[in-house]
Amino acid sequence: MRRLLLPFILMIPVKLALAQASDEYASRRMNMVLTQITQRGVVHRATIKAMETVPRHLFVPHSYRNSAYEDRPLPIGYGQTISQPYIVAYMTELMKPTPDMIALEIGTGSGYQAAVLAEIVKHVYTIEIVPQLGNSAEKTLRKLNYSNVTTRIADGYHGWHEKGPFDIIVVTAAADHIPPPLIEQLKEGGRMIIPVGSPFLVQQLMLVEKKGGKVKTRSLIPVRFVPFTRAGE
Amino acid sequence: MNRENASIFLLSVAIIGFQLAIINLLSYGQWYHFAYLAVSVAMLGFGSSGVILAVWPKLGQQYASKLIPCLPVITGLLMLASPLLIGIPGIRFDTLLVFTSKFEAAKLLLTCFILFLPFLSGAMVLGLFFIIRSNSIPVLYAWNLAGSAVGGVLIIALSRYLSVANVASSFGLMAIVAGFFLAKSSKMKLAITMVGLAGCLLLFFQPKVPFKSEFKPLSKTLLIPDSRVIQTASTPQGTFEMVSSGSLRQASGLSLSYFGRVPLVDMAFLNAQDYAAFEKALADTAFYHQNLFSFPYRLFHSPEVLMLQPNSTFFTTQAGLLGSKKITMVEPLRPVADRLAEYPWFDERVSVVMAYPREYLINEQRQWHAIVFPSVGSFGGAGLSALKEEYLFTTESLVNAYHLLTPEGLLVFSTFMDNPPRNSLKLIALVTESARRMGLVPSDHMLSMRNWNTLLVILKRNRIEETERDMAFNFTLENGFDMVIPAPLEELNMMPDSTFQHLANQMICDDPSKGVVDYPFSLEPPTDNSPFFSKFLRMGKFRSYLSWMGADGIPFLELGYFIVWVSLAVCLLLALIAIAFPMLISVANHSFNAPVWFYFACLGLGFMLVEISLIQRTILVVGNPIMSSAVIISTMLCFSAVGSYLSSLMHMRKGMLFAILGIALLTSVLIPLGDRINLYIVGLPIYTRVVTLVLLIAPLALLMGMLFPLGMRYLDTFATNQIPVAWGVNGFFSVLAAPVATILAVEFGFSIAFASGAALYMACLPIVLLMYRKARGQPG
Repeated sequence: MRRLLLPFILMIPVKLALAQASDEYASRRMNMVLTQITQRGVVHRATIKAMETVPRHLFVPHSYRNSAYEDRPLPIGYGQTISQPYIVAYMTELMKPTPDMIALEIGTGSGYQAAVLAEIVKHVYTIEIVPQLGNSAEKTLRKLNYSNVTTRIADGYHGWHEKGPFDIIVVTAAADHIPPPLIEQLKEGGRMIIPVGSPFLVQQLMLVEKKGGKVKTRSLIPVRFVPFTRAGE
Repeated sequence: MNRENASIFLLSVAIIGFQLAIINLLSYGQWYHFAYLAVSVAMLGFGSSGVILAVWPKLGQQYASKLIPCLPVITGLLMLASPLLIGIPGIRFDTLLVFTSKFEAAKLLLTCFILFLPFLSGAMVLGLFFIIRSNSIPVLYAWNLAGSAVGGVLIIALSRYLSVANVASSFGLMAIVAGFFLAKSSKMKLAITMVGLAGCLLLFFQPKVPFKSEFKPLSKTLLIPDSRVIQTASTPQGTFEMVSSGSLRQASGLSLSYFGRVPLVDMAFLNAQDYAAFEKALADTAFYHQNLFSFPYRLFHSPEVLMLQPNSTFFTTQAGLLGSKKITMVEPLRPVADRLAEYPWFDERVSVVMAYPREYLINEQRQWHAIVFPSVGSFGGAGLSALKEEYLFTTESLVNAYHLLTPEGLLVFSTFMDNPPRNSLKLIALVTESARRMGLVPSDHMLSMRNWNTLLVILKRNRIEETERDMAFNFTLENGFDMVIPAPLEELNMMPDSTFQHLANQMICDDPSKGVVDYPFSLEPPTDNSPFFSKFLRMGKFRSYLSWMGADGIPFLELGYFIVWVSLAVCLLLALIAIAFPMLISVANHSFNAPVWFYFACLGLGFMLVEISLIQRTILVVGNPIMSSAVIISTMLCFSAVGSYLSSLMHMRKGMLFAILGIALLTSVLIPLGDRINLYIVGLPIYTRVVTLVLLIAPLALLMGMLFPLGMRYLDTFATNQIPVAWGVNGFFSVLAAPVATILAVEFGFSIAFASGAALYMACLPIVLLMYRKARGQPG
């Protein structure tokens, strides 16, 4: 009897520790939203709620979990990073997402941006060219029950023609040109966010809008998609 | 040549060759700026060996004969193993991660330590020889420095045939052979032969391509599932790799109104940095027309075009399709030049010249309708390589190019639009400043336009006609681009604020200094004296950067700038641990002799400041950093050895004064005439260039080489107890000198860095007088 009970008894402190850790991450997350996001002027309620909900620490490598809610991008392996929380919130707010929208993400990376969007929109289609990253992100998203996210390992350059047109396209890999297929797959009135600039470390975020068949661009803020994958081009 | 001299010679070849090979290795796996770290690590090895021999004199007195045959073999094994070791997961560091993880900083230190060991061991052999054969130091020193000079040349030859990792390791075999010469018994010879054979086997285990940072463009490109390296070549400029993939495309400057196909490209990489793109097929004509870069061709009929190091075949294809009569491409990298020469989409109008673009501009006589410069930053001259010398983008270079234009000819420049604007504004600053130097009113000769991410700047030799301005305006309207010069009425591609346009307007107006001065980034046009196009950060503006990017964001601005500071911190730490502390502990009971300490500190810092600023300056003359390192290091060492030998024949005090005054005289000639001399030499054939450089530098190196042995003689006579301290102080400052020289060059220019080195030698004059005043009355 004692043998049977022992594992359960031993599990109690472990479970308590996990619950405590989980609470600790939740409190860090709330603090992140307060100090890094709302104080910097993000006001879109759905975005704020999504940032409060998505457990960012589960999208970063174990060794960086303690830094998950810090105000900086973190490496996720394969030369890629998970963007700074503010940038994710800023990009999400800029796209003005609503629950009826369909979004396309090019460059799944850790899957965090897809999860944040999935909290708000109807469905997120996300494409990653690096299989290891794509598979890992898919696993995390599945574990967190994001049933409205569909992942795909492919070259995002061509978009996802069968699922388009999209209300929102978010590109998280910097490029030296905006792929014409993506512009084509953007709905009339749709918004695309893409980091552009030199193939170095600092790019700027660009808002691309399609109105009346015309494409207009607006440079926003410098971002650090450190570093980029050329294949996103 | 007896066996000992032969082994000293071989070991010296190995040490200097290994040092340069490590620079290559770090340039490939990490970034070019670790070159200075490699120099410091080598200096640290030499300094520490001196410290060890000074602190434990028994090593030299009792164990020298046993250690001398073994240490070269150990050195060789360490040289063979260290390139492998620093690539092992758990040891290898990654530059970018150094700023996010403390472990990476520890790994960087561990890497330095691994690389330090072969230098320590090799330098110990030389030190032991100097101790046991002190009566023939000049001869030993001469073989030592002659070997160093040969090592500097040999690296160039080996780099052509061996991979970057194998070059480093092959010098290990040379050190083992040096050990073989010193072995006395046949048993030992056999053992060393076995070790050598094992070393040869180890060479086979060396990865053909060494470890590289996961953040290097090549690493990321190879993550793409169908990408693969289709060609590899070792070149004097670094490792060339050609990657083919079904996903790579390049189309900067493309109009958003183009909905056609963008062609796939194969990508050439140099030292794992993207270098040039080769279109796999031609796109439809609209692709070449609906592009920012097509505008210059609207101004000509059948132009003759000079393309300087074009970073894509796109530019040449475009020039051909848009009616160019003749296109000459200047390309310094042989594998790229060969590929361009065989590129199937070029016709007989296209020719390829293998040369460095700046060198070509200086030597070229013909006139061109258009000279197209490579996109600024397209060769990694930003971010991590922010302090890379870019001699093509200096005011002197633009003046060279301007004089090769036909009256209606134009210079074409481009860069990425960045935010906050740095590259874009500095390019405009450079072109306007160059125009002013040529007596032009910039607004009359310049046109500039941009799309959402690319800026095009044109400088025309003649005044720009009103009709040409109208053409530019219409071209931007057709393609959804914006004018920059002259200023636009309305922007289609909106910027976050008006900073870029406001400062661009300031620069082309009569008083360009207004407003630009307050800008937090340095927009000073680069010159040959300070050819750091991507040096934007200003030390005094750190608070602005902090408030804007946050503390951890600063490294992401122009990281190369920080790498030098990180190198300085690492070198300081290592020099404290390996030289200063052991020295201070062991000599704590010795008195502080300020003049002696200052004298050897000045020599340690001064020699390296002169050497490194000469290396940087000579890149313009010989084309690339490895070649200039080889030439300068070899020359400096070789003639310092001669100086050292001659010093033994001189009166101590007079010799010191003669050397110091001689250095003062030579530098006072070299500093003001340096630019002219460089420009003259660069027009000569490469071998003549090298010989001229050697002849120019030799007298200075010879005089510089006298002061250290003369100082040692002084100590031997008047203050024997200060010898280890002097050795340590000299080593300590030699280690710090590499990053200090770079920082000085970046902040104040090569002339100041060089002059600082010379000034340190001149500072020895009062110190020498003081030393002798202090020594007066003492025996000797």
